[in-house]
Amino acid sequence: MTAPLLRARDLTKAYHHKTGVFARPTSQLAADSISFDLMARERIGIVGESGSGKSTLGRLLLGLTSPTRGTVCFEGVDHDDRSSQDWIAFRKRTSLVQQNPLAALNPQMTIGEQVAEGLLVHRAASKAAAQERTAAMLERVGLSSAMMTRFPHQMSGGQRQRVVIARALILDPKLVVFDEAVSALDVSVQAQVVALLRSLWQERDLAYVFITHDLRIVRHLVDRIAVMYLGRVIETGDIRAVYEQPRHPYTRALLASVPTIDPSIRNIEPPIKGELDPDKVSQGCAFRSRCPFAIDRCTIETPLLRAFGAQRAACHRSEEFAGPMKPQAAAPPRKELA
Amino acid sequence: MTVVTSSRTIRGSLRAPFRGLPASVGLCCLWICIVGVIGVTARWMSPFDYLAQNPLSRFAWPFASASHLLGSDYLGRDVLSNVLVATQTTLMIALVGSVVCALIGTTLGLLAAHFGGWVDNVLMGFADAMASVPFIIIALGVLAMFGSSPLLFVFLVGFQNWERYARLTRGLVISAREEGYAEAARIVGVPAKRIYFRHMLPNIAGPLIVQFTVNFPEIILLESGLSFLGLGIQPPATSLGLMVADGRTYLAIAWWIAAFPGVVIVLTTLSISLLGDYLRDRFDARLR
Amino acid sequence: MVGFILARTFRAILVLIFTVTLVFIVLRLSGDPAQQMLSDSTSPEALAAFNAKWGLDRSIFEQYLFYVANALRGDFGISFADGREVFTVVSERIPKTFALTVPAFILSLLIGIPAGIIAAMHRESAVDKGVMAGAVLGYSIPNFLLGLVFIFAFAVWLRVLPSSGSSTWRHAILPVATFALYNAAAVARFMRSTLIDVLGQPYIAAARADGVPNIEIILRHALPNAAIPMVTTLGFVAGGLLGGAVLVEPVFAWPGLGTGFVNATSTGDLPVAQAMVLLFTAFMVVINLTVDVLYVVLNPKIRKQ
Repeated sequence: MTAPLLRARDLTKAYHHKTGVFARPTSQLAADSISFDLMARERIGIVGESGSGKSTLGRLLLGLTSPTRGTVCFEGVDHDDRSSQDWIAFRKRTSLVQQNPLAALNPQMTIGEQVAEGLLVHRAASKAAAQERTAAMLERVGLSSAMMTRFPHQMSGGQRQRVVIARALILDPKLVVFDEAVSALDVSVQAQVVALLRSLWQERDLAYVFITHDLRIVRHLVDRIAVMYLGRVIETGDIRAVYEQPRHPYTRALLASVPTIDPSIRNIEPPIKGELDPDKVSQGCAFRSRCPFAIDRCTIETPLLRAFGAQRAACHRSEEFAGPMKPQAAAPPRKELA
Repeated sequence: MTVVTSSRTIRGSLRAPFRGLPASVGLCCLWICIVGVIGVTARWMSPFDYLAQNPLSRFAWPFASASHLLGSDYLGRDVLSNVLVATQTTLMIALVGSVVCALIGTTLGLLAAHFGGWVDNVLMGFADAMASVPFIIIALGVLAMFGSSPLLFVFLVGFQNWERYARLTRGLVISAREEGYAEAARIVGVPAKRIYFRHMLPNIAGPLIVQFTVNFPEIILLESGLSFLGLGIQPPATSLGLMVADGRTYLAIAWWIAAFPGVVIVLTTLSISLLGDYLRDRFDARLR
Repeated sequence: MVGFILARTFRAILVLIFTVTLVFIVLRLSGDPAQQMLSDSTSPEALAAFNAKWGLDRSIFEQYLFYVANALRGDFGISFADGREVFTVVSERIPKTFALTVPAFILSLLIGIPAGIIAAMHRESAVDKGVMAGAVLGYSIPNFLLGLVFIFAFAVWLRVLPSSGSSTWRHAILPVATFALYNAAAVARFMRSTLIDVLGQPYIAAARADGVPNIEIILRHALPNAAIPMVTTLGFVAGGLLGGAVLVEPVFAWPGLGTGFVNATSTGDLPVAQAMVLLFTAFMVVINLTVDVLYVVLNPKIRKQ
């Protein structure tokens, strides 16, 4: 067995905030004991509501914020052991695609300057070669190379996101974190970008972490999925296994709430109520206050991830969710999006 | 977001800056250009050596003869020549002072934002303390302790309101850092220095330029004030404030000695302030 | 609220300590204190007494403590100029400066606030344009120049008022007018923009929709809310008056703190100059603290906490 490209162990990030001058600082776990491996060319989806800590996880993986506890190891080198030289090398081999393409692009620099910058600061290409590769990259993501002289505000949202993707991939990274990479786009543009990402992955030696709240999109893009709730991974596993037979009531509720245009699919799951409430997580299951299946045990004992075939779930009653959630959800990814 | 949307047009608007320029702002620009030309060419333009005395034509009235267009003073020196040279001196001091101020303030603000923590607290505490006392008080104290020398004087006026640049830069850098583009550059592996100067500076330049136009006239006023009190520029050099002080004694018999340098001060500060207001409205609505 | 005021008081004290320390450091940096603080004709005994009093034969830290202790007692040594105690020299000038700045402060409010209100109520009217033009001019005309214009107009040309001195109340008219006009423009501009801000708030629109008469909207709804930001402005104005004293008082040969400070600076009278720096700083700290406290007292949002 080969070594994983990326290894996260026990990743925990606590945010402290003070409510007043004399108040005791309270801390909240944006990521709580997260562990997983990512092999080369593997694709993992991180799914959760806003506030579930999925963006924090992405930032931890890329070393943009340091964990309170735990380690991240990329290509055998621990983040904690990286010298500044190592960090530069790491930056060259990894990348991030951010949520809002308008904010992610510098309004004062041309598209060409921004896409080529990675090549230039890492001295990966001469000025002329960088120019050429930038033009090729822009064309690969479906833009014309004439757009190199444009400024971000002169483009549409979909075009900007293609630029951001081009910038992220120009150095041919081994790992990319997509943080809500298509969420800000119109649905029709989303489908195009999803198709672009699939074909880019096909032709490259690329592994990625796809962070999103959108279960509809993620199934077309990843091999594995991890569902997060209040900083914890509550269910993870092979994408098909999880979609066919979710073992956690939260995952079931999320999948049930995915909008569908097929009227024959009935929402058979009891809906979850309320919003994320970070104050109720000190003991027991974090989800219990919103869970329609909560029992007394859930208030006392924090459920841990347990294996069920190709997936793992953190729920005391996982065994009871044995059957497929709904027959239609078991169908393979629909082709029109791909 | 505001930074992005408000300043992304700097490059674009520099290409066509004079579209829809109000007449008053046009006049201001004209006067600033005139003063700028004087600042460069004063020594060649002045009809007389500004120090040359002529006992035969003391207190000559302005506009009365072709030789002394703006009259002459109590020693028979040509007022026009003096005003030209004084304008040059004042402009030079204000320019150097403004640049010094911008550099000090921007650098310290950048350091505060970059390091955060106690560096930030110390720098911003210092800024607060200095801002809470009128700068002229501090300036007088420093001049009392060190005595006046031209070099000290230029740096001293440059310290006025440095904290505005510092606060502005600090705030802008902190908010720019939160913008995706700065993080995106960091992820690509762009070094911090390049992120600050290549990525952030063009985006925060608009507000800093506006601050420059606010600061420049204030430094002119400070220079004039201190020179007026006899604590700034020392004879035989001359500046607008010094000329006003000089003419003050003869207000009753020769108003023009003080009036012309006074008018130059007012018109110059007025023009730059109005231009600054205009630029502020164009560039950045947040500073209003 | 008490916590806030305590925090602000603590900060004010911190600024004072900071200034005293800075003055001490700069004084020590700028040369030998004995040479600076004593005139050349000092006898050896007086020199020894001086050194003992300021602890100059001790470590720099002890010197600092001596300095702070003396400053707290108001003892800043002897003025070079006339050999009197600095404390006396400075303190007899304080009422003179207040005699100008206090009336000027009140006057600038009496002119500026109504002008600002009228300007805000009648946008684009003659008053509005006058206020805005006055404010822009106020930024551009140095106050000493305005003083000279007044002297030229009323003392030289019309010959109705004295140009310099302080012997009668008529001597105060021109300097007070200079200060007041200068600051009234700033007050009016702030009042105008604050009131325009407040008048744009939804609760004003709601009151309008309820049929509340215009005058009542201004008096009962808008002004109390505009008062809060205005307090901060008054701090600026008060600070501007003190800073302006340094330039305006000498124009009219008014024997206040400003003239005293300028004279001390130009003659190198260090004992007086350092006392002036500390005194002006203390005034500013008190003003800023007052503004902070007033701000809390006037603001029901903070007051309730």
